Amino acid sequence: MSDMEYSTLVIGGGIAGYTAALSAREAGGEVAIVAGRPGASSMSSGIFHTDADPGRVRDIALPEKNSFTENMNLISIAEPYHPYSILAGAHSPQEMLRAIDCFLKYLAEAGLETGGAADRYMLLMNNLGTMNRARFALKSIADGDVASPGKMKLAIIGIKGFADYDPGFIAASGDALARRISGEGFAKIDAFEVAVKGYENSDNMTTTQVAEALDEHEITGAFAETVKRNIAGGEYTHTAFPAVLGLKHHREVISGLAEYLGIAVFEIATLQPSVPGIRIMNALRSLATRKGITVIKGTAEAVDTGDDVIAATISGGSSVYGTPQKSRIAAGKVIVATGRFIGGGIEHGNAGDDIKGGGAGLVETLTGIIPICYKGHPVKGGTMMNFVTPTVAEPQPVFSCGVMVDAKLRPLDANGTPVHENLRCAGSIIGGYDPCRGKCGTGAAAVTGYFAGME
Amino acid sequence: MRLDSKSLEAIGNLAYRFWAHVFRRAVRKPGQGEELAAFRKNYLPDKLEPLTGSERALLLDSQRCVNCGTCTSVCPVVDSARDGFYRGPGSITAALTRSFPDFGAARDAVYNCTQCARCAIECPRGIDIPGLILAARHKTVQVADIGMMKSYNTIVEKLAVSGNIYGKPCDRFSSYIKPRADVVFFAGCVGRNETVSDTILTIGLLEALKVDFTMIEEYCCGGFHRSIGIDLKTNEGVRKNIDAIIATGAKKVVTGCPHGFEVMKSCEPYGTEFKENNITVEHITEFLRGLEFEAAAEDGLRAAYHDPCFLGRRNGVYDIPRELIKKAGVEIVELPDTREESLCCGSKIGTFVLDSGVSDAIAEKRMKQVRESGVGLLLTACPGCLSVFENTEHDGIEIESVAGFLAKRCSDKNKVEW
Ligand SMILES: Cc1cc2nc3c(=O)[nH]c(=O)nc-3n(C[C@H](O)[C@H](O)[C@H](O)COP(=O)(O)OP(=O)(O)OC[C@H]3O[C@@H](n4cnc5c(N)ncnc54)[C@H](O)[C@@H]3O)c2cc1C
Repeated sequence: MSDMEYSTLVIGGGIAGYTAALSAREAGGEVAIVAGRPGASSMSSGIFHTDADPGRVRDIALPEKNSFTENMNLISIAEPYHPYSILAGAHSPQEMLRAIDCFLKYLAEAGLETGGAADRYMLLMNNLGTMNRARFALKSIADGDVASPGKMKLAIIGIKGFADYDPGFIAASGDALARRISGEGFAKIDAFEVAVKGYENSDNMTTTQVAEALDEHEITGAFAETVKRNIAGGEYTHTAFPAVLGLKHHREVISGLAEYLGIAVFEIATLQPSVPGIRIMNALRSLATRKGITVIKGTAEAVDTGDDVIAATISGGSSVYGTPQKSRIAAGKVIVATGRFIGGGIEHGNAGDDIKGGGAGLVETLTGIIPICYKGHPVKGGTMMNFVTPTVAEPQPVFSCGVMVDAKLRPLDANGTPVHENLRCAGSIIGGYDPCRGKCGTGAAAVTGYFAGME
Repeated sequence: MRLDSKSLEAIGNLAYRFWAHVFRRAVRKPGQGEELAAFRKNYLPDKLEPLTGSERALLLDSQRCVNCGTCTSVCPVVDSARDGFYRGPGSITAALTRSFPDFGAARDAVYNCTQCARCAIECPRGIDIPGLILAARHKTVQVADIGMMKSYNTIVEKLAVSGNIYGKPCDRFSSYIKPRADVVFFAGCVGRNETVSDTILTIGLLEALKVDFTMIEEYCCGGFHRSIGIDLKTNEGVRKNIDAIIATGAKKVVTGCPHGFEVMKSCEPYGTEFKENNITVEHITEFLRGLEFEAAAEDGLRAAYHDPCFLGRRNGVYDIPRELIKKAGVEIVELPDTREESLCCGSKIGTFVLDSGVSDAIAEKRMKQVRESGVGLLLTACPGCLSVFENTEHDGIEIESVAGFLAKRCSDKNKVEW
């Protein structure tokens, strides 16, 4: 066991973890992040949900006027356990917006441009044929904002053999939705299907398989030619592709296509594995390394809380069957950003299961001592059925369960007192909100990550 | 009822079928009994073997799959199988868990895995996908006829004939067999039959370093059986290996091949037998690190190191081979996919992918990374990888094993003759 010391140690390499590590580094000091397996962040679509007017989550019409800061005020009244509401005790809505801007700035520094604005929602098509309402997204996706469909002549390109994406359906559904939301349909919308060289016979390509194929210069070249031939004479203003335009060389692929086709090119969010999600995580990881943050590939096994410093036991050199090498890292501040059920920060166990915290019910897996709460109260024991409701349309309590924090993002014990002065939480491990239904997954991860790292 | 010619024909047909059916029982046709016996053989005991504890645990564990597709996105076989015949580890997990396991149906998929374990490292839920696939292969062999898989049949026959996958006995190394020694050096099928010169170098190094070692009359460690799905516990060759090793009185087995390393370290019956006899297993790189010697490479030599899946990702040995390489003063150039994320060599002779064209494509992809890294030397620590890369277009890039490389560059004190 070797000893290392840092001023800040972040556990968990999702959007929350990396934002925390980067902001802690910006605030000064030596920072390490333990980042093991991918979590929810690498599955997110590349569309950044930051907030939604709590009363209108399921509304189809776009709210006339509502900005991020206005929504913060609405949320703090309607959802008192939302981390935004808790942070509101110490930070103004403008400061929270700055946190999001900072996350977008990190992405830009890492070579991923973003688009959008804080005071309006974009309308972004997706492969399910619906529209996503969001303020920010990766630029390649944001460029597809259906702000004025009447001015868009759109060619939707599908890929032969890539089954999760039906251009005809997306075109028909997109047009119908545009009519209902904006009152006007697309000036023109057509669908095409194009084969990728070398994969003509495949009938089940995955997102990453297409993306890696398109990373090859020669394959994209041939692909661009076929697309151009298909859309020739259509006088389109935009072409839309599934969000698979390159994994490593996406910038070259997208700008190359736009240049060759001579019209705007954008990406439509698709299902998992999410190529934009992987791009985001790769970018954050390389930015962290570049900024002098120590990125440790491994798993944190335990956190022990002394008087001032706290330390974590890390097992590194990940392997499937080998004996891991253990090391101990002491830090002035430990930020737990281990995510929820996907990241593994929270698990549901049955009595006798081999997980921390005894096993029964919902437990926090890293320390085992932070209680999981629903609406501010610790949930004890019980089976999964205690946390779900029978109909899909209703909110599912299980998706709002998580750690309860104070305005400094310190996790609270059952009595509502901080577990340790120097322990913080960030991201979806914090409860009180449903990241998907509440349309604030990336936003909450970035805001809590930023403040946890900064302070 | 109106009777036209069509309905008459139909009624006549029905009547004929009815009487034919009734009288069929009375007339015995030749061969009928055999069919029944065949039917009974295949279907009556439905061949569904009960799950063992570990198989049950694996299956339950895989229920945690969230269908995110991460495994598929990192799978080298999926990446190289362009016609889509392989739907990836995720599809296997889904096939084996979402309904009652139908191992026969998942057969083609489970036999296209290289066991590189990249999926298991990346799985957000930490599911042991390669373990699940091995269990599924084991079941496939139990419930389906091994004869169904033609390409495997020949390998199984060869293993039965000679105890190795090359189908003929190998006495090349008999002169190194001693009755007793401190250490047993287990070279493995590929090392004895294919990458022979590298094995000779390794042996030379052990001799030069005055290691009291012996070799044994080797049979396949069981790695090949295991990857096909054949039980090791009743395997004759495995039994003979264990007996021969114990008979030497050695307390350490050093394997030249990471596959043998994993099998002897963690598979039964080796595990129990070795534990009872206080025998430990090390890979040759781990063993060499414990020895004192000096080596010096040519000035300014830069080399890439390819992490073998069975050494790195599966068993966590990443740093030791690198330490050994640096010891000789070589600068290591890390390939784009390295350590936990190392790219599989395609495992053409390791774990058998049904489609060898896919293996070749993976090996080619890896070699491309090596070429683009601009090194003149590629080092690895697995005879399987070594042989695969030697048979891949490598544009004059030298390919050596870490042990073989050190043997050639040992200082005069421990000079190895070669
Ligand atoms: C399928 C899916 C799609 C989504 N799509 C969107 C979307 O389009 N837009 C949007 O805004 N939001 C979306 N969300 C929500 C959003 O992605 C998440 O809320 C957010 O990314 C959570 O980030 P996080 O950093 O808190 O957690 P995670 O990204 O889950 O990160 C937690 C990390 O911690 C690691 N970890 C856990 N335990 C340990 C340990 N002991 N040691 C070391 N590491 C550990 C995990 O391996 C993981 O990498 C989506 C979520 C899902 C599941």
